[in-house]
Amino acid sequence: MKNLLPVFLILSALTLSNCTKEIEFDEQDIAPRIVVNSLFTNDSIWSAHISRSVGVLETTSYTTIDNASVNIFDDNANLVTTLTHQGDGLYTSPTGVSPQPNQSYTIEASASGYESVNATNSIPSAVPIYQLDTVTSTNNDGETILEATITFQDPPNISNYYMLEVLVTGTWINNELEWDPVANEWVADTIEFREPLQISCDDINVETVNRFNFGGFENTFLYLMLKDQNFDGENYALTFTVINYAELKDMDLFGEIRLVNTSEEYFNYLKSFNLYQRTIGNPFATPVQVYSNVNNGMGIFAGGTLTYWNVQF
Amino acid sequence: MKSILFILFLFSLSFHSFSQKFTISGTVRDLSSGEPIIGAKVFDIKSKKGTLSNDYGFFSLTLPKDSVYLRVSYMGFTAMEYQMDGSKNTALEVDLNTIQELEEVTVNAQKNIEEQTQMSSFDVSIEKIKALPVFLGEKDIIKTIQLFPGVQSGSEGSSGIYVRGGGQDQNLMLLDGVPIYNATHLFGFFSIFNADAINKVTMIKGGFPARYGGRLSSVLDIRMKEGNMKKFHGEGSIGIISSKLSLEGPIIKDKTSFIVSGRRTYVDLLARPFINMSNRGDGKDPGSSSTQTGGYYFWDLNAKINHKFSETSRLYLSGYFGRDRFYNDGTNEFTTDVDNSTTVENSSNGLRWGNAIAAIRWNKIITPKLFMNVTGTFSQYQFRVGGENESTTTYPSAPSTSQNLIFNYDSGIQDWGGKIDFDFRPNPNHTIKFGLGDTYHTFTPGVNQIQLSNSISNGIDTTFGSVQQYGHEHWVYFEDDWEVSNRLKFNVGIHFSGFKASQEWYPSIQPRFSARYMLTENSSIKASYSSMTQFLHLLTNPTIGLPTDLWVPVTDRVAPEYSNQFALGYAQTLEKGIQFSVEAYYKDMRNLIAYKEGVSFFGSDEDWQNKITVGNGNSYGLELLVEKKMGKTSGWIGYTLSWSNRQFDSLNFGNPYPYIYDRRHDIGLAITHKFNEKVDIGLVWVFGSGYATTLAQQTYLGVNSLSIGPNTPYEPIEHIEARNDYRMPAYHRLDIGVNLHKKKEKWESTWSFGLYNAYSRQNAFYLFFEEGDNGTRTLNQLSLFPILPSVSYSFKF
Repeated sequence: MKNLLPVFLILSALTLSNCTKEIEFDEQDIAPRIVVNSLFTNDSIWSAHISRSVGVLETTSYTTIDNASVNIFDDNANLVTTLTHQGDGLYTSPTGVSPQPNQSYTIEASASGYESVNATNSIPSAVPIYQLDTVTSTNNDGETILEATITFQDPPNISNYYMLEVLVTGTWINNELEWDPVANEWVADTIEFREPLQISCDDINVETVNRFNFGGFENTFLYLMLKDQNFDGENYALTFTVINYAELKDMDLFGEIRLVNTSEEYFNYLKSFNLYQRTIGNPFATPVQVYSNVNNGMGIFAGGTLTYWNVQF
Repeated sequence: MKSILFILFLFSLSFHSFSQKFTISGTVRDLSSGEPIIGAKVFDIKSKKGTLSNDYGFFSLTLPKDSVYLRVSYMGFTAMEYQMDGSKNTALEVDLNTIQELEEVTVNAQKNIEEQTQMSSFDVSIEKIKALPVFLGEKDIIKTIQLFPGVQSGSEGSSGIYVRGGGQDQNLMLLDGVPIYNATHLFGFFSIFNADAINKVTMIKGGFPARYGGRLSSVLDIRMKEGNMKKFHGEGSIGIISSKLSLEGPIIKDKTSFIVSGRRTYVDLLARPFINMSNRGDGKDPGSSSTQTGGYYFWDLNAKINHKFSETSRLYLSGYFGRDRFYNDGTNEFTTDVDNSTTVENSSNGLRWGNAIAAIRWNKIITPKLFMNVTGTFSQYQFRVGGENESTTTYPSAPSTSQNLIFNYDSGIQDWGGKIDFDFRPNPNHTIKFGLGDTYHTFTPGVNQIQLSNSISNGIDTTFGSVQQYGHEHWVYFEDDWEVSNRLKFNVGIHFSGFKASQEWYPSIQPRFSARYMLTENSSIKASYSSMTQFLHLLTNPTIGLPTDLWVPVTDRVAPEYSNQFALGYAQTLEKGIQFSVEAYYKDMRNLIAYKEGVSFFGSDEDWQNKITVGNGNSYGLELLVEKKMGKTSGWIGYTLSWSNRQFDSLNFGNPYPYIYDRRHDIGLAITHKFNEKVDIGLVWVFGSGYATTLAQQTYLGVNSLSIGPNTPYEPIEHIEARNDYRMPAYHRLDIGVNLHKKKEKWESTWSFGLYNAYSRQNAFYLFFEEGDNGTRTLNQLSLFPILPSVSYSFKF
């Protein structure tokens, strides 16, 4: 036993050695790839943001690709339009060229040093809002709140995916005056804005991945997402509350309620992206794969058909 | 009319032949201790008919009325032989004596592997478990089982088992017939089974007999010792991690015995990565002082009392109790300059979990051919993470204030059950088992409790999370081990079970079938089919390894899991008693559950049913095993080639992906060599190709908007191409141990020295990316255990 003791002590010391080390990375797939982000609607021109992915061993920051070839084709492989670079990786089509419902489109992007990528998507038919009802009331704090209900006819026998947001447009007047050399006078600085409003909704068909708590409202959203799983083919009434209506109502502002009938891919991307955002930094959350339909690359190429209802607050 | 007469004639013949038989029945026990010997071979050399003793040592053999030369044998014991004239039914109590000599025994002491109808199974002897070197000297049943083909260990040091591609919850672990829900200590590094208290360990991976049900992938049937009926004995050990002591003996000699076995840790060697606390004195931070303590320990206790009313009636009362506790307590005192107030905070945080099981069992030999066992069971697993924070603030010129916050997260499962099992042996060609039972489950699948009280305002007392759920699980079964001919033998059976949730009732009929055909005297081919149903699920979070897994039942919304398993095999006994077997299997699994993406299992007020998704899985593979059970050198080598996959519509975009414990190649080698009575050595070598893991290999900018424009914001996204699409590095490890025995007149002692991971292989436990000093990023691994020596001293009296 005595002879074994020194050996034993030495071996015990080995247990305190460093237990991390670098290992070889099986480089299956870390070459940078083209990232295409293109969300389109029937009332917009074609636009896409092209950048490159960053391999996990790279230490470079994210960069855009400014010399890519980006084309849109229809389902007969006819060139619809070529997008041109506008700066910072943003590519747009000429005005007057917009996606059309029920037409399949394919985007192809290529750039030197990268494998070409493509993605295909189509946007469904428009689903108009045919009725808007509003009710104002006073909450427990004495503030005026606006409850709105839109009604739309869900197309039957097909899966439909919706996104709804409420936008307000207006003009901010900056308190600081600026000198107008043309008018030769001090004028107020104005900023045009167009922003989504925070809305609250308790509808059971609304996805909750992008909800947050605000000002006592537990189900607060910047936009609503829902699918017609439970109301296929029905007239559906969706009710929501404009949270800060009390601040808006005396400002003579205008806006619109936008209902987008999105493609399934658009919906899946939005849902998975929001879910991913919620889990960042949470070690107890299960990992999330953000949806992508870009072949050989990453990102999203998807769209929806927009209808809207103008409102005045 | 003629056909009726013919049938009556045949019946009369069978009746006549029935009356020409006699039955030998009784029990087989260890002479020195009175422990039942399970699986002892009882064989009539003249008629070549035989049977095996059951889990309580009972046997029954009906033979033609003729002289009988009976041989009763079991490996490691001297066989006993009896000559009878066969004139009447005979009750026979057989006491076998332990073999003392070391030379190899060539007589077939028990059924060879090729003779057994049961395939996909193996027994592990307690002596082998104690002889092999293991993790930090802690003899561990589960760690030994992990060395056999078809049984994966999970992560480094883990005591979980993943059998033929199944999940950790798909293993029915029975301790004296009572299910155990979490069979591990210390986050999975040790199992709860104390080898000193165990009599027999049987692992079944497929071809499940009808008497088992409730889990898809395996049955681990562990039988405790009953306690020495003859003499008072004890054994114990003192090791690096824990010490244990077992005491057994008669309360009334040959009538009532007891066994008590306890174990406790006392050194936090393994807990050091988790515990990093030190007391800080004043000086570094004037105006404040704090003390922190932390620690970890576990203990467990096995106890059993066994009373013999008569030769045909016995009562057993057994229990297991165990607890793990990880704690962190502290006191903090500080003074603020703002208002010169002084605050004293006392905090106590920790995790604790444990099992408590109890069983009362009555055996009755009703007739020489019919044995009955009635069991009442209780099983409970509870987990709690929580803490309490109490603070008191005193002000120079104002009343003091106080606050007390208690938070707890509880989960667990509790069962009350009863069952009746019969063992009927009408003749040597049929061994019939049948029975029924019911278990009442209570599930607590994650409940949060917060209590806040203070001296200046109303407090909070709220409970949220999943509600308790209840259910009755019931079953009835029938099986027949039928020897059709000398070559052909079947085990056919039916297991019917059901689960009553609040509204739904889930019935399930599960046919079972095994067949064995002897090709030669020493070889056979085997085939089996099993349909299994599981009414419980274990929700496992893949991101963090804590005992926070939740046992949840089937409900009106969540259906049971089902599996079908087919297996085909070949078995042969070679020279010198070496057994060889090869098996191929295929298993499909349906209604598996997993957490949805993005779900956080802590702190959520959402019911668990809203957090899960349902899918399927399959697994298939080939297992090879060569085993030598007797002689100075014994052991086994096993190889597994396997695939295991999962498919969930809402995970991985609906595409199939490898199960996290999909290990393509697995090798387990375990050898012991006995030089003499004083010295023996053991060697274990394991190899496994890497498990599957999810590794984001790219990141990119994703649009965080509903449109693309000049001011559109983008956020970085880690791109995961597919779930579990990366492989961890291969795992291999060598363990060596030597046991030095010293035998005195009344006691014996053993010094055991071991080296775990003898060549200090840094096996990957976790992978992560890291930026180095030169600005490059590299993939790194965290390893847990380099070479670890161990020493323990054990004694027996």
